[in-house]
Amino acid sequence: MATLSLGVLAAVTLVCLVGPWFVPYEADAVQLDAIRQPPSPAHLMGTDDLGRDILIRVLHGGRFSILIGVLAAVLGTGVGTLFGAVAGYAGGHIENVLMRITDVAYAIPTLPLLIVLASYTGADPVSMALIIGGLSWMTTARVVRGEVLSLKEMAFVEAARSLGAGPWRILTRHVLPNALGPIVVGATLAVGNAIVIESSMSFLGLGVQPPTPTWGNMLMDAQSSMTTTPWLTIFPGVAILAVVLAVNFLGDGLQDALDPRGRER
Amino acid sequence: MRRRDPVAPPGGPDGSQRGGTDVPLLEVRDLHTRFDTRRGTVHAVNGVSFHLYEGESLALVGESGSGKSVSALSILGLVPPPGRITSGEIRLRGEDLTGLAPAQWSRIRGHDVAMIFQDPMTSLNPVLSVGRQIQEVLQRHLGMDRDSARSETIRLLARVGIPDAEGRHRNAPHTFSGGQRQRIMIAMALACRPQVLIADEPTTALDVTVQAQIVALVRELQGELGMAVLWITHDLALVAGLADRVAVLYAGTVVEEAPVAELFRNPRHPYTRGLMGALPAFQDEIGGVRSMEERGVGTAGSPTPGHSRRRLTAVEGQPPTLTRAPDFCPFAPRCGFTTDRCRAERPLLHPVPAGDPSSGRLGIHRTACWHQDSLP
Amino acid sequence: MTDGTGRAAHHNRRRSPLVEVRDLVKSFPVRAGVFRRQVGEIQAVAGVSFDVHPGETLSLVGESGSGKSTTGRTLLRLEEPTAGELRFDGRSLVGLDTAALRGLRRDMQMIFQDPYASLNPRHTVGALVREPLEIHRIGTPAERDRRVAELLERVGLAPSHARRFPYEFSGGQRQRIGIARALATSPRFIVADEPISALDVSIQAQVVNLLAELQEERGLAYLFIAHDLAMVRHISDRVAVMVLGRIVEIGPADVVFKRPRHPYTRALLDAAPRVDDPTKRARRAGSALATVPPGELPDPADPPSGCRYRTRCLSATAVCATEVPALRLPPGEELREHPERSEVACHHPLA
Repeated sequence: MATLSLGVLAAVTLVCLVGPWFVPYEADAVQLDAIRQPPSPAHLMGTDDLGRDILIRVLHGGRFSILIGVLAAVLGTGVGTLFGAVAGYAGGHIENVLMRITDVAYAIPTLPLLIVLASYTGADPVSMALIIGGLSWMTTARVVRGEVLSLKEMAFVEAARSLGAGPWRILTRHVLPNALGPIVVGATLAVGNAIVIESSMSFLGLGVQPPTPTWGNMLMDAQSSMTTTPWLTIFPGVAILAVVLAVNFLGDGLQDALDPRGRER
Repeated sequence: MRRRDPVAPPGGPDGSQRGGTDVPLLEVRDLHTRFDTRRGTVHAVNGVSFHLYEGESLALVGESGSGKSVSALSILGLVPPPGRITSGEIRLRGEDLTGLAPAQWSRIRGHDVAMIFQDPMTSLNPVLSVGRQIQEVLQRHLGMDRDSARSETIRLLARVGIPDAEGRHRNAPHTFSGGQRQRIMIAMALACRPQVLIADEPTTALDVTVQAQIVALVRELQGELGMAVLWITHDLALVAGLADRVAVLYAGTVVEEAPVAELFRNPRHPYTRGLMGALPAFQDEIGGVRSMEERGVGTAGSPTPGHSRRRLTAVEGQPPTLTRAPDFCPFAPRCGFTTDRCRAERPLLHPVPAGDPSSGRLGIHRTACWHQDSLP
Repeated sequence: MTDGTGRAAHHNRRRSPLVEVRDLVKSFPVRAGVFRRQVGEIQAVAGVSFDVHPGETLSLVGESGSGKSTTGRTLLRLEEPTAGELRFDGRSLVGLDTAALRGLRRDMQMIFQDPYASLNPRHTVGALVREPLEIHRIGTPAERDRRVAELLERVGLAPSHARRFPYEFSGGQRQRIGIARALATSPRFIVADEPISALDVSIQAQVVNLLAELQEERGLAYLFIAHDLAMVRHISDRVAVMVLGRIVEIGPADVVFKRPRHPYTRALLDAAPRVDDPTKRARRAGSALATVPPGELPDPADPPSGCRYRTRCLSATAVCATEVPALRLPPGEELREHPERSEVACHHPLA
C-alpha cells in the first residue's frame, strides 16, 4: 500500500510539473464559446463557466498545492526538529523554556491566525508555506523531544560519551539518525496536512485568489453548480482526496518500515 | 476439584528420589514443535523425549536456541503462534495433552500442572492486589468461597516467606521486591497443589543469594507437596543443587540425559563436555572436586597442566537456528570429533555403559553421539 | 610480565598504580513533589577506595544495589563523582576540562553489558570501530581503515564485516565488536561492565578467553564488574566485594575465595551454585543456607547506620550500628606475606 502510494504521489507530482507542456490550453485562457463543456476528447476534464480548460487548471493547481505542501512541511519539520532535539538533549532550564514556548504556540488558534496573516502578506505560495509551516512545527517538536529523551539514555549513546564524543557529535551522529523514523513520518503527514489547510483557505476565498487556480478555489467556484456541472467539483476534489490519502498511506508505511529495521536483532 | 493432601516425601528404601510407582507422571515422547514465520520455518524442538516421575526433579539444560523453553511451553499448550506442535505425544497420567481443546486446558493449567517464569510480572497483574490474584485461582479451580480463599491465600504467602502476609496481601505487586515477587508467583502456582511444577529459569534474573533462597524454597515445597518439578535452566552448575536427573538440550534435541552425579562424573557427549569446559565452576577447587584435567576429561585445547587459572575451553561457533529438521547430528559443525557418519546420520539416544551402578535406579545414562565410546 | 600463571606477577603491585580511587562517593538525588525538589539522596557509592595496577585484573563483585556498576561508570566520568579522588597515571580526573578529559579517554575505555544496545544500530560495524579514531583524530582515513580491519581480525571477525550492520551479528559477535571498538585507541585501562552476563555460556568462555589474551598481549589493566563468582575467580588477580555502596573485602582472588573474612563474602560463596561431590552435597544441603540470612538486602535509598550489612549479618553487635568499619587488615593478617593479604571492613571478621 505504501509503495503504491509512493508511486501515485510520484506520478501526480510528475504530471503536475511536466503535464502543462502537453496541454494546449492556458490556465486562464477564457474561451466563451466553450463554456461548461463536459469531459470530451478536446477537454479531458471539461471546461468551467468561463470556458477555461479544467485539466490545465487542475495541473497548475497541483503545482501550487504540492509546492506549498512540501515547503510548509520542510519548514515545520525543520524548526520542530531543532527545537525538540535541543530541548531533549540539553534538558534543564533550556528544555523548560523551549517546551513552554511550544505550549504557547500550541494554544494559538491556527485558522484565525492564518486568516489574519494571509490578509497581511498576500497569498503567494511562499508566504502561505511560511505561515502554515510556522504554525505546525509544535507536534514535531514534542515528538522529537520525546525520542531524544529516550535515546539519550541508550547504551550506545553512553558508549559514544565514553569514547570522548562531544554533544554535537552525539546529537548529529547518534541521536538524530535514530529518531529519523518519527521525524520522517511526521514530515510526510505534514505535507498532507498543509495541502488540506491551503485548500480550505482557498475554498473560503482567503488564500490564493482567482484567476490563479488552486484546487481549493476551484472548489469554491464550483460550489453553486455541483449538480449541473459536476465535473467542476469532481476533478479538483478527487485530486485533493487522492494526494492526501496517498500521503497518509505513505506515512503509515514509512512508520512500519523505518522503526523495526532500526531495532532489528 | 480434587484436593490433594500433602504426601510424605517420596523415596524408596534405597534413598532414591523416585516415587513409588514405575509409571511416569509426565511423559513427553518425540515432541516436534516448529514456528512457521514469514521469514522461514524454525524447527525449535526436534524429537525431544523425557519423562518425569512423581516427586522427582528433572532439569532441562541448554543455551538459547536449544528448545528448552519451547518444550516446556509445549507441555502446557502455551506455544505462541506462529508456533505449533507438529507431532509427538505429551502424556499426563496417561492422558494425551496434545489433542486437548481449549476448554479442557483450564482444568490442567494451574491445577494439575503449574508454571513459574523468569519474570514474575508475566503472571502477576500489576493493577490487582497479590492477594486477590491468588484468591481468584483458589476460587476458580478449587471452588473455595471467598473467606476460605482469603485465609488460604494468607497462609500461602506466609509459607513462601512474605513477611507480614496478613497486612500485605492487599498490596499491588510493584510494592514488593524482585525476589518477593518471585515468591508470590510461586505461591500462586502452588495454590492448587499441582502434581507437576515447571520452573522456566525462575532465578536467572535474581541475585545469587536470593537465587539460593528461591531454590531452597521450591525444594522444600516439593518435599511437602510431593510434586514433580521440571527445571529449565541454562546454568549447568546450578543443576547440581536442583535436580535428580538432567537432560542436556542442543538445537531442539536431547543430546544427553543422566542422573546428575553420573553426568558430572562421566559426561559422554562432546557438547556436555564443552559446556563443562567453559564453566569455571567446574574447574575450581572449592568443594574438593578434582579439576577436569586431573580426571582426564577434557576437550581439545587444554593448555598447560597444573595451572589453576588457564583458558576455559570454549566451544567455537554459535548454536544453529534450524530451518530444516536435522537429519544429521546438529552439533557436528562445532564438534571436535566429527566424522562423516555424524554429518550423514542423526544419532539417537542410546545407553552409555553405566559406570556407576548405584545411580542406576535413578535412570539410565543415555547420550546421542556416534562416538561416545571413543571419546577420551 | 608473568610468572607462568598468566597473571601479572605480584611485583607489579609495587609499581605505582595506574588507577587510584580514594573515598569515592556518588549520590543521586531523589526528587518529589510538583516542583521536583530534591527530598533526599541515594548514595550509590558511599566511600570506595582501591587501586588498579598496570596489567592486572581487579574485579568488583556484588549483587544488585551494590554500586559496582556506578563505580565503574563514575571512574570513567560517565557520571560526575559527588566527592572523592580519582587519579589516572598520577593525574587527577576530577575537575578536568573537556579537552583534557578527552585526551585521557584515549587511555581509559569501557566495554558494556548489553551487546544489543551498546552499538548504534544505524552505523556499520566499520563506522562503529572507527569512531574513536575519528573523535581523537588518529591517523589518516586510509590508516584508520587499516586499523579497523586489524582490530576486527584480532577479535575474531573478518575485515569484510566492517560493511555490515550490528543486527546481522549474534550477541557474542557484537560483544567482540564492542571490544574492538574499545581497543581502537590502544588504551591502558578498560572497565568491563558485566561484559558476559548477557551471553550464552559457551560464548562467555570465548569472550573471556579473548579478554585474557588481549591482556597478556597488551598489558591491559581491567576493572571487571560482575556477579558470577566462578567466572570472577577464574579471571581476576584481585577481587573487591561490594555491598550497598561500600567495599567490604578486597584481596587476591584466591585468598578471598578460599578464606573469606567478611560474613557477606562467605554468604555469597555459599549461595553460589557449585559442583560438588554427591557426598559433600548432602552435607551441604542442610547447612547451605546457614550463612545466607532470610530476606533481602535493604533499599539503597535507606541504608542502615554504621555497617550497612549489619541487618543481614549473623554476627552483628551493637558496635556495628554505631561505627562504620574501616577497610583494613584483619588481626593476624599482618603475619602473612604481602601478596596473600586481604583487607576487610568488619568489626568481627571471620577467622
